Amino acid sequence: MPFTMPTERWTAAVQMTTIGATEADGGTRTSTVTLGGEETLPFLHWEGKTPNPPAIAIEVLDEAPTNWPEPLLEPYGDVLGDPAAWAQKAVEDFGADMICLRLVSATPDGTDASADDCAETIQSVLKSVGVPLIIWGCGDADKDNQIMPFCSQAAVGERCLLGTATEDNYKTICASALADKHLIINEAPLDINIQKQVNILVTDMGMKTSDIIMYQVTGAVGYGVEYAYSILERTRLAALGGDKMLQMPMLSIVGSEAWRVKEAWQSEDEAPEWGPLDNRGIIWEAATASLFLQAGTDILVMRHPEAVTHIRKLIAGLAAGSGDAQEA
Amino acid sequence: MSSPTVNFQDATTKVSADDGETILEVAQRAGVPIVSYCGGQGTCKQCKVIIREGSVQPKDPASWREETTEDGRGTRVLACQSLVTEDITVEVPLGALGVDPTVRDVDVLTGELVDLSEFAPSTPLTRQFALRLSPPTHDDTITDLDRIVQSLLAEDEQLAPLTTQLGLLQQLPAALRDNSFEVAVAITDIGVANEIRSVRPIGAADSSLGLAIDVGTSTVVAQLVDLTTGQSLGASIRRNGQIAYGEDVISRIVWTQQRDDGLARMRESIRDTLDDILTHLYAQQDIAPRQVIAASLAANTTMTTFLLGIDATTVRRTPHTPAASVLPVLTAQEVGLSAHSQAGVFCHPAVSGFVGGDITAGILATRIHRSEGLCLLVDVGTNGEIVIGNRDWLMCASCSAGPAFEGVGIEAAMAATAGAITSMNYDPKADVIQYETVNDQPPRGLCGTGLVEMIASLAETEVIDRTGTINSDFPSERVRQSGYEAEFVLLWPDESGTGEVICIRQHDLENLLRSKAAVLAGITVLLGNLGFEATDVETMYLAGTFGSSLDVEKAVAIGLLPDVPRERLRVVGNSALAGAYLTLMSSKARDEASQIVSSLTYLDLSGDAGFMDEFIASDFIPHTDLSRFPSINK
Repeated sequence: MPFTMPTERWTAAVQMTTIGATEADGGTRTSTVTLGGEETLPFLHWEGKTPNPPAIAIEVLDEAPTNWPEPLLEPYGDVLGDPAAWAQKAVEDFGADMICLRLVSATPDGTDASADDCAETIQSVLKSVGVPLIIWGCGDADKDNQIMPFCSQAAVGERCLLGTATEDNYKTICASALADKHLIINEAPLDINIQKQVNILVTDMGMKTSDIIMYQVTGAVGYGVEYAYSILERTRLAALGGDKMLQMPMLSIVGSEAWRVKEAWQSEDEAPEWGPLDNRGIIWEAATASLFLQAGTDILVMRHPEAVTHIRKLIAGLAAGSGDAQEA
Repeated sequence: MSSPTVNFQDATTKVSADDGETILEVAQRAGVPIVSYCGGQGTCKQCKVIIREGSVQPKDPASWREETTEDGRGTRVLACQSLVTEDITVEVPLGALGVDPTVRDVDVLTGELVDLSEFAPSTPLTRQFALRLSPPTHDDTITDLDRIVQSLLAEDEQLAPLTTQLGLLQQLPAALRDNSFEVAVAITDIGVANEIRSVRPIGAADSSLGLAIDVGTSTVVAQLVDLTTGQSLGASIRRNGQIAYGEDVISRIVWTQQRDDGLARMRESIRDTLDDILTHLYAQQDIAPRQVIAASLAANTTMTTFLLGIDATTVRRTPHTPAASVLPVLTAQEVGLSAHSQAGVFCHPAVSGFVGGDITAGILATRIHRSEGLCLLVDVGTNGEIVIGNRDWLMCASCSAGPAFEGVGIEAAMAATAGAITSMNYDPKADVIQYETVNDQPPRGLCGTGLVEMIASLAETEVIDRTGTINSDFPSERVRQSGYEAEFVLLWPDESGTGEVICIRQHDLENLLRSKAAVLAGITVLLGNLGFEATDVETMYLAGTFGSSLDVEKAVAIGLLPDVPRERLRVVGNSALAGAYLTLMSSKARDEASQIVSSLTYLDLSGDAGFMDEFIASDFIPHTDLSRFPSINK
């Protein structure tokens, strides 16, 4: 008997969203990123449309990283500490679809940069690259509420992604995004219900569902990532099942999670059985990213260019359904 | 140097403090009931007290907060974080006092639930018969007991079989002869027989009164009933004094295990509470305890065991087996109830450690066990119970709703007594609160019904968002910051009946939402487990804390109840008390109560993987899945 591949039909699709605005749309971006539109689970293109492959954003810090291990510093060299140049390298040399600018300098316990400083950095990055921008706060709720209106204003009309809105702190960032025509990243602590609640809260404020990206805090391979995987998968299943409040594209932070684990940075002297340090972190980041891809993530925020190359190959292979997938 | 003393104003208690003791520890030792859910960790912020004289030292200077009171004459601090180092005078505000000791009058038993016609004929638990017997002679030598039995059977042959106990026989010869064989005989229906329990002068038995009692974890209500007519003579309510030993049944059981006299003190506490209520009720009706000859008691399993002085440890420990399910009909003396010593006391049978007599009483009162269509009963109390079924089957689950809707731990809350706000509406344009109160008295706080209306109104006007968070940018002076958190002023001092500002705080809203989330999640998971949807239910009864004045529309708007056609929702008030009333008055009701126990199955929601998920989804106004509330979705 010939084998027939079983197929599943879903009633709904993932919301289609475009990040970045070109001149025609009132911005200055030379490229935009369109996500969503999937009518089925990731890469099952024989079941339904999967029009937009996942995008890769490369992470750029607004000040030189202090705790990155050598293998991660090496590819960037002297651009670290110059966010505009860093972003440019990430796009031109490493092919980033987007830049994720993290405003770590604003951290109150650290450099405690002012809102004006942050706004200036954003403008310099916007000038140096043409890809869409993700603007990510420092993580301190009060400080982010202080700087985000200025950061948003500095990029007015560019359809950037502003992050992040949480259940307890969403009003300021949401108001900024609405005023300056940006999109918003809604964060949840690995909880599908809370993700949905933040989505409802910001739509109550007038945010369109097509201007929302969902983000569940995650972990790396070996550190409870299975739980994150199942949360993302459940979210996607709910979206395809018709839950309008969970149909937005999803974003996953991969780089900073993967490079945080000791397997990625512990020296060969300390852990000789783990093999050479050179590619351990890269493997860890690529493995983590590949997992999220299959769970349904639409934007991967990554760090190491080599990991990015691996993942790009994997995405292409999976999208084409060729044997490249195994090779990668 | 002598040790410093703490003078508690409200409780008029003066105690000396040991070295390094906090106000909370001193209070607990002295029996001053200050609310503390977190066990003195400084996190629940319930134990705020006011230092009127002297000063305290912070336990942990890093997290120390204090604020000056509105009148400027005191300092508000957390009792658990304040070390006593010098003589101080402490005022414990009602909000922090776990037990408001005031007994208040309530109007609880009304409507269809207490319609006795479906339980006819009227056969009270204890009945009195005035017997004029002929004294024995040489020709008539039957015994004293037979003389009474024959006379009773002549009155009503249905009284057979009759029985009695040694104690009565010991008094019988004198009781008959001292009263020239003209006596009032009280017989109590003990299920298998009628027991002759008292023989006394006819003059002493001038009336037949009974009590219907609901002993809740947080609130105790007693209703005085004329057994001859079935008419209610009045009802009174009070906080359960045991709150001082823990908010829920589990923490109270733990408390009893930690000390030798734990169970005795727990028993004493509930007896004191009942005594307070009955003393008030009797004084008001100008009656003597001996006139009360029967009582029916609906209480959860733990409350019943505590009242009877039975060890409740087994209720807490798996497999949660209580000492007994069906209890014998006791006497008031055995229970320690202020009534005629031989008054019959019927305890509603329990199904399990977590499904008590209160819920079987509720089923009886709502008549779910007789219904053809599918019914659902939600009893919102400190422990929420949910029953689903019809005349063929009954299933029950419990969910820990917490005492928020009963007002415990919420400063602006009160029982549904005079001055309680039962309905309210905030008009943001005029910045005024419109409200109605019980007996149209000046407003003193919100009862459970008022709390639901408050949440609905604040959500509708966007003073709070869907998570219950107060919008601190809301353009009204009513929204303000108060030390630890945001608050919304419901009534300014000149508007309130207390002369004090009455406000609802951020953590109050969070507690209330969690409560309603537990109830809604319980309903959803129980229905889901049985393959039903909310729309399959023909009638949904909401009982417990909420009075029949509750607007079901508001209950659905905040997501306390599922969004089903409103005519299927019935707010029935205190169904446990109504059930107790029915069993007090009718043997048919008592029989049905025992049948209910045998047909009720318990489902343990704590073992359900989906419950927590559903709980988080329900902790939102009205629910994270807005499509389940199509009539609310704007």
